This record gives sequence, C-alpha cells and structure tokens, in this order.
Amino acid sequence: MFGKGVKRKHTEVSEDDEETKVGRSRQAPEEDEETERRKRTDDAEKGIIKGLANEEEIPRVVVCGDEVPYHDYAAQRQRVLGLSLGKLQMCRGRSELCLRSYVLITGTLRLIQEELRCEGSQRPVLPPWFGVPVTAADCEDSNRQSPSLVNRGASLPTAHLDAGDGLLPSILPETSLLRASLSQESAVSRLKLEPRLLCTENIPSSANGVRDLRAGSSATEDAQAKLAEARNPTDLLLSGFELPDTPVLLQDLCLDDDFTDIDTTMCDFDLFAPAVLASSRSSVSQVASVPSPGVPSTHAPPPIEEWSSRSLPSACGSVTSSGQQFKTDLSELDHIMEVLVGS
Amino acid sequence: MEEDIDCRKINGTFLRSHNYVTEADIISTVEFNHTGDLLATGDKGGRVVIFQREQESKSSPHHRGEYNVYSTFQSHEPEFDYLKSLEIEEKINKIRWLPQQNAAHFLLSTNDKTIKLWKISERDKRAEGYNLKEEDGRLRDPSTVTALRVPVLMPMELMVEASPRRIFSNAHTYHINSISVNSDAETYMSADDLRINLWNLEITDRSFNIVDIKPANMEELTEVITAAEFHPNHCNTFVYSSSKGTVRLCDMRAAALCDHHSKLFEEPEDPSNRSFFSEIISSISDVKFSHSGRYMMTRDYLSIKVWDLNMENRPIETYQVHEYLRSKLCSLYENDCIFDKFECAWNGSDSVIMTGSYNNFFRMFDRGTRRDVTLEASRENSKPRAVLKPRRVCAGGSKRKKDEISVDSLDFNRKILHTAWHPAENIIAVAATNNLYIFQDKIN
Repeated sequence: MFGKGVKRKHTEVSEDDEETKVGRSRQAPEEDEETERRKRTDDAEKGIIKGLANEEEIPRVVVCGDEVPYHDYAAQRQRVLGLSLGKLQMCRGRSELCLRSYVLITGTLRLIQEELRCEGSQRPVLPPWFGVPVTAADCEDSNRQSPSLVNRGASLPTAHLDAGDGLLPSILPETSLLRASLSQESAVSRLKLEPRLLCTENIPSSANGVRDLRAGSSATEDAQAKLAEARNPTDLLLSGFELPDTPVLLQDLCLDDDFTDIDTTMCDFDLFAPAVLASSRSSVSQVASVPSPGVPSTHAPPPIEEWSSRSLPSACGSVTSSGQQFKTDLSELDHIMEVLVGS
Repeated sequence: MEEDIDCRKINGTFLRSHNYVTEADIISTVEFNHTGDLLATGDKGGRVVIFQREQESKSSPHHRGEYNVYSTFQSHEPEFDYLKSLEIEEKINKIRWLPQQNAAHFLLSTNDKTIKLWKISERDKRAEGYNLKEEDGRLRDPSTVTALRVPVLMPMELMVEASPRRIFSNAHTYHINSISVNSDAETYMSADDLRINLWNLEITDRSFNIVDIKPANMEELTEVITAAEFHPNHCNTFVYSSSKGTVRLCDMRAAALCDHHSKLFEEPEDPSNRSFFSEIISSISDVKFSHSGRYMMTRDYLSIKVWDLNMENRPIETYQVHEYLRSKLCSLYENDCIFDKFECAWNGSDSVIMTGSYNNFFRMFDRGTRRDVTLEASRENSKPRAVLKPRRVCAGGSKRKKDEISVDSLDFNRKILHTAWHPAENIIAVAATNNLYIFQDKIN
C-alpha cells in the first residue's frame, strides 16, 4: 500500500473530527443553536426585535444524513482536497502505483472540482488587483494549487485560503506564474497516463533532467522544479482545474535578463540545455520552452562550433584556463591603457 | 448459529513477539481446499504454508480435527522488471485450490504478475533393493552382481513435496488481484486492474483476454477491476466487480471479448449518506458466489450485500459491518485505512456470512435469523479451548456500556482482511496480521 502515512489511533484523530464537525457527534452545539432560535422566536412574538441570528444566515449542507454549517463543510472539503493532492504526490514518489487507489483519489478530486465549479458559477468574484474577470473557482483553485505545489521547498506561503482572504494578493502572482506555465505545459503536450509513466521511469528522469539545468536562475529552477513535480498524474488534474480561457499572465516576463552575467559555459549540458540556451538568447520565457518528459526530445547537444564561436578556449576546458585567458586579456588591456595614458 | 465456539490457535512459524511483526510474515491470503482437509495460507514473503487436519482418532478425542503444518514452500521470489525499473513484490495475493483428481493436490498461487501451479504430493514409501545401486546410492559394479532381485517398497517417514508444474507469466501489465478456477477444471481466469485473462491449465504460453476496460486514453481512467470469480456451476458465467461499486456478470458464450455485460448489479446511492467518500466506500473489495450458485455477496468498505443473481437493481440483503466508522471517514482517508480491502466468506450451507473488521474483530451474520455477532481474534482474550466472547462497539456519543469498546479505542493497525470458512463444517480460519486463528464450533 502506498503512503506510509502514520496510522494513528483514533484517540489522536478524534480531535480532527471535532474540528471538521461532520457527523452525529455534533449534537450539542446544534441543540444550543436550536434553543436560541426558539428563544428569538419567542422574543419576536413579544415584540422584542433583535438582529437576525447568524446561524439562520449560515447555509447548511447535508452530509451523511447530518446538517452541518457550510463553513465546516468547506473546511472539510479543503482538507480532503489537500489530503488527496498529497497522496497523489506521494504516489508518484514511489516506485509502484496502486491503480485502484489512484483511481479512487482522483475520483474524489474530481468530485470536489465539480463542486467548486458549480459554486464558482454561482458566485463570481472580482478581485480588484487582478484586472481580469476571474471567478471564485479560479481563486480557490489557484489557491489550492499553491499548497500542493509549494510543499517541495519553495518559499511560497501555504495558508489555506478562501476567496477574498487578505493573503490573496501576495499569493496570486506566483500562482499565476505557475498556472501560466501549467497551461502552456498542457498546451504543449499532454502527459500520457501509461502505466509505466505513472509508475516511474520517466518521472524521476525528467525531474532529474529538469533539475540538472544550470540555467543559473534559482527562481526559474524553482518554477521548473515545480513543473517537474506537477508533471505527473496530478498535473492533469491540476490542469483540469483551470478554465480553458485562463489568461496567460507574465508571458512577456524575461527572467533571463537578470542572469546573463552568470557564466554557464562550464556547465554540464543535457537534452534540455539547448532549449534553455536558445531561450536565454531569444529572451523568451524559459518556462515555456522546456519539453515534457513524454515527448521525445528533438534537441541535440549544442555543436562544438557554437562554443568555439564565442571567443572561449576551444577545449571546453577547465575554469582555470579560461580564468588565465581572462587575466591575460586584462593585463593586455592595462598595458594598452598605460601606453595610451602615457603613465 | 450458536455462540459457543471452541477456539484454538495455530502456533509455530507464525508466532513472533508481541511488538515486532516481520513484514514478510504478514498473511495475505487464506483458503480451504474443496474437502476442507487442507488449509493454505500465503504471506507477504512469498511463502505458502499448508495445514492439514488431523484425522479423528479414538485415542485422543480432544484433538479432534486439529490443523497442523503439512507443507511449507517458497512460491514466489521478489523479481525485478528491468524494462520498467520496477520491483515485483513476492507477496501472494491469492491462492485457489484445484478440485482433487488423484492423490496429489494442486493449487494456484499468484503474486502481482505471475501465477504458478503447484503440485503437493506425499511420499511415504521408498524402493529398496536395487540391483545396480547400493542403499547409500553408490553404484555397484555390474560384474559383482550374482543374483537379481525385485526392489521392494518399504515405508518411510512421510515427506511432502511441493513442485511447480506450470508457470503462467507475462500476461498482465497491471497487478493481479484475483484468480478463479472454472468449474470445468480445465481453465481458470486471472484478473488485474484493467483486464481479465482466461488460461488453460495445461498451456502456459498463451492466454485469452476476455475483459478489457482499459480506456484508449489513460487520462480518462475512472474505474478498475477489483475482484473476479467464476460461477461455481456454470462454466460460461463469471462476475467481476469494480471500484465504482458495480458488479458485472458476463457470459462467455455471447462473445469472445466480454466487454458487454449480461447483467449489471448496482444499487443506487442513498442521497442521505452522500459525502466526499461515497465513491471510495462503494468500491467493492471482494465478490463471492454462494455455494448454491444462486446468490452472490459483495463487500464494500462499510457493508456486505447479498444479491440474487436474478435481480440486478438492488441487493436482497444488506448488512452493516461497522457503521460506526461512517463519521470517521475523513480520518480513515487520511491514514489510508479507507483503502483496505476486506474479504468475505460464505459458510457451507450459505446461511451465514463472515467478514473482518478493525481491532482484530470479525463479524458473522446469520441470514436466516438476522442475528449477528462480533468476535475478536487475539491471544490476550482467548486461550485454547476457551469460548469466544461476543464484543460490542459503541458509536461515539451514546453512553458506553460495560464491556463495550468505544470507536476511538479501536486499533486500526490490527485488521482482519482475510477469512475463510470450511466448505462443510463450522470451522473458520481468520488471519490477523501475522497470526492465523482457527475456530471450531464445539459440538458435544
């Protein structure tokens, strides 16, 4: 069985149940609300007018035969979503995938996605900073993407977010970048869910391939690492969370301009490197040009002529020889300056 | 059925100290043969252990029908799939006995990828008095032979040999979850997550695919096969269950590829019990035909349903195994217990059904009297020949009575997934992690 998740005894776990508040054990507080409601009705009859009770406004949902407040239901839905995504990621990390568990987890995710979609179509939300009409589903979806994609060590906050939460502005740009890259990714190629891909060999190699990139940018590496993480069965579901007409943000952003001073000539190039090199020269976002693992790469390693055309020692050689060349050039330059200045 | 049950434990190779359980010793399947004299168990380490029932003897009436170890052999070894860089577990997923046709016993055992046919035979005689061989095996010089003699069969200590007679491999891309021997005793089927193959017991290099639910685009995969079984009497009929809570009955006479079912057994979902986990808990973990062939039983996470094969739209009986877990589904999802696959078993007369639960509890339901009982398989609570005490679990919220266990105290690491019932008598075998318990009905 995948997921050596800690099997806790229910003594530990029952506290969680109290938080989510789903189930028959929540009788007492609901009874209190009921008595309060009755009291208010009595007061109204006596002519005493009070403000509307909050619990009358809270929509209630039926789950497993019990009515629970909607915010509890949403909290549990959030929790289940997080758990499901976490399980899928753990699934991917292992060498073998239990297809049955995978199908059950993705079924649950699909259910939640449908619910969110339905809710989103009912309650459109326009965050002012966005500038583009976006529904609550998008906000919630993008926020929910961030916890899972962030778990790999990137420095994005992992707070659970609801639409309209104050943290939304700070999250949005990163998630927009990720969503942009994901949408481009899904546009470029669809990962074929063949069992061997599910199970393994491409995923670690592609992840390693992506991580081997020494493009020099930590931010781009993070984005690419997240892509590698997302490039798995989860990715398909996450891409399923996006609406087809998602605006692609930050497409024109040239992250490479900041990193042109980093010398990448001595780095170990693999299949993906030529794409990076090409993109760094043409100032197209690196993220868009990385091929997916399912597609056989058509890039070859850069020819030797390209390297030698860049006034570097022809033996792609050691750092010391290029350093020496650099020092020689500097000393020549100094000499020329001295001659010119006449000092 | 009567509550008095005489219990006895099997000690021996399965015993380990209390706190430490060797993974390899975890029992993964239990199966009686057709007469009930032999009981086979498979474990996670790829071993098969066969127990044999002692013959009744007048000299020791108290040892009536005890099961003792008969044979132990390594059925499957861990393998490595070099093409996919995957390790293939040696865990025995299922064992099925073939009907006995001669003195030897045959069984099929399978791991995730390979099915093996094993022959278990006894040897209790040895030939002595060869002409060209000494007793210790040395060859005799033919020139020293002066007289000829006929070798004589002399009794020897009983030796039980297990030898692999057939190996059926390379037919399944996904993990095999079920095997079932056809009533024609010539063919059997093996089912993995997406396909079912039909084999001839004599032919190992070829199998026929009879069910294939793999979608053209794997991204559209929403359903897998969870169990499959041949009808006990009709050699053309079989059923397979899915992770979406449906059972399909297929007739092999209709077409070579049985993708279109003859009958679809599905109960509409109860809207009042809807939750995020509705689909997961509806996934069927086991399906078993009754001995009569008229009914079948399906086990999903919280209940057992008995179906009449003539009625597809709803089961004729539904038994709640551990309804108190319904409010804990989120936590069970978190610790992966919701994915546990429990098996179920019929008794010989199809009047009682049995299945396992958590905390080493197992449940029996009498279909006639509608009575049910919860029993526990544990060393602490039962000594040999003690009568098992029925247990009760109280759902959260209501006051706990004396001797009741609250849901929060259940140990979800101790679960009974595999149980088997003797085909004729009231003897049950219950596998609790790495221990095997055998319980018998006490008849005075």
